[in-house]
Amino acid sequence: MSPTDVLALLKRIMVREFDLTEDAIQLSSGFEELDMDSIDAVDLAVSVEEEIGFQFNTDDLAELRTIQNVVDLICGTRRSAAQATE
Amino acid sequence: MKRVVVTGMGGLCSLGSDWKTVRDALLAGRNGTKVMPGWEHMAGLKTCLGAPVPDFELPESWPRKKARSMGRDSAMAVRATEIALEGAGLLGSPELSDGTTGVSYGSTAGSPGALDTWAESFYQKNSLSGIGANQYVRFMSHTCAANLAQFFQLRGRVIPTCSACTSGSQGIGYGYEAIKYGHHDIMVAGGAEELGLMDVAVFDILFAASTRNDQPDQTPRPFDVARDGLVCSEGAATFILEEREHALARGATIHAEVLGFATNCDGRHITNPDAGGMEKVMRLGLESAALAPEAIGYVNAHGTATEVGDIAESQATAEVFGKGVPVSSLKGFLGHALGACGSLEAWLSIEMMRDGWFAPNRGLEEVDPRCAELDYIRDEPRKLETQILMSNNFAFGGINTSLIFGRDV
Repeated sequence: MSPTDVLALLKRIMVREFDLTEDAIQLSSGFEELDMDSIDAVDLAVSVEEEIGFQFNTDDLAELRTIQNVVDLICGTRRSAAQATE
Repeated sequence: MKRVVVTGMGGLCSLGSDWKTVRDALLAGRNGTKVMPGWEHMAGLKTCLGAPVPDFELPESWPRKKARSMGRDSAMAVRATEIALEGAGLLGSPELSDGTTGVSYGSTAGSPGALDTWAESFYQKNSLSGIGANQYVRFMSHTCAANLAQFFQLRGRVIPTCSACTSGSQGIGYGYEAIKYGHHDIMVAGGAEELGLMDVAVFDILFAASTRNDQPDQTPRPFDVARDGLVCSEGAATFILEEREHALARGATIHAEVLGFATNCDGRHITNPDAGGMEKVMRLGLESAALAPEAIGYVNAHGTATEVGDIAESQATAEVFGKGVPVSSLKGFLGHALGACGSLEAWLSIEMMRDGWFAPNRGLEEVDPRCAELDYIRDEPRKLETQILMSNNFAFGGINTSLIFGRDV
């Protein structure tokens, strides 16, 4: 998936799940800024996995701070936490 | 010992979500029983009857982060509590979150809807896919109490009273005791239940659910010779209990006083009730209120319309009170709201006492001759001025409760 497609996917999920407006969700948006917490992060991961089969690992979830981080991780341009510790 | 008064009440049931609406339905003799669409697909299920709370949806005004952990039962509990706190003049009060206020609340189990979703994925699909972080907390046993604490930022003790059909009455009773013995000045107390096919099936399996599927307006019929079982319903009712001096000092409206509470166990059979245990809990309730049986002007019966329950309860009531005490069950109107019934019935009994009349046993045309002789209120609401009533409930596990409320405070 291209970064544009991933961002569109995240927007669709987050509007549906977290009562956010599409405009509020930008690549630079931070989870705190969007009023999302660890429970929301898990629910986002569950929805992404359901939609495209991408699996997050625990350490990845803990390190994600922005929408850009999520896009990069899914697109493979961000090193996962597992790779970083190898 | 502290005296404990009721400064707020709120409830949702199959007949409405405020006293005026419920009162009109009781006076008109309406019941909440419906034929439930979609239940016919369940192989082996004999009943198709339920009594849902009409038109209840999660209010959109609730913050997402506070609502996400709620199943329907917790949501009804929170809504009932909002109404009760508002009536008590405590909504938004700093005393909710400074440790002054605790919560004592129960339901039979957690949300059956949330458990269904979990079980379908877990056991049918053998997969965790799609199970979000909020699924479990919606069906954990103490979900109502926990959600109430989160929603209203209650920081006192949390007493989950998950004991099936005595969840609501134990909620009030343990809340009362928490204030009586000086642990808290305010307790949010009560019970809730979400109508789910799983609960209905439990009674259906035991041949305890009504199967008058073509006559929903004729069932359930507590104490009637032609009754054929209970009708499961749902709802929530919350009491704001308050230490009397605390309530008086802030000028709160006092609806009633909790004069006594008792709970015990038959310790005998997991589902069959025992008249001896029921009689004992009523006597213990009277003892806790330091009252003689003659002081009670009305008994609100558990009266589920099951054969063994009605017979045992009527015998126990007659043993304590003789045949003269006016008795009615509200389940002919509301259905059996399981974890909510104790607090729903206590709420409505207090309202009726304040209005000076009591509803009849709906559906009671001919008393089962195996039931003890009592002054069953029949056919019409009865005008009755009394200052003190007793509300009784009984649950699987042989658990019994008796609550006593006084009007004169």
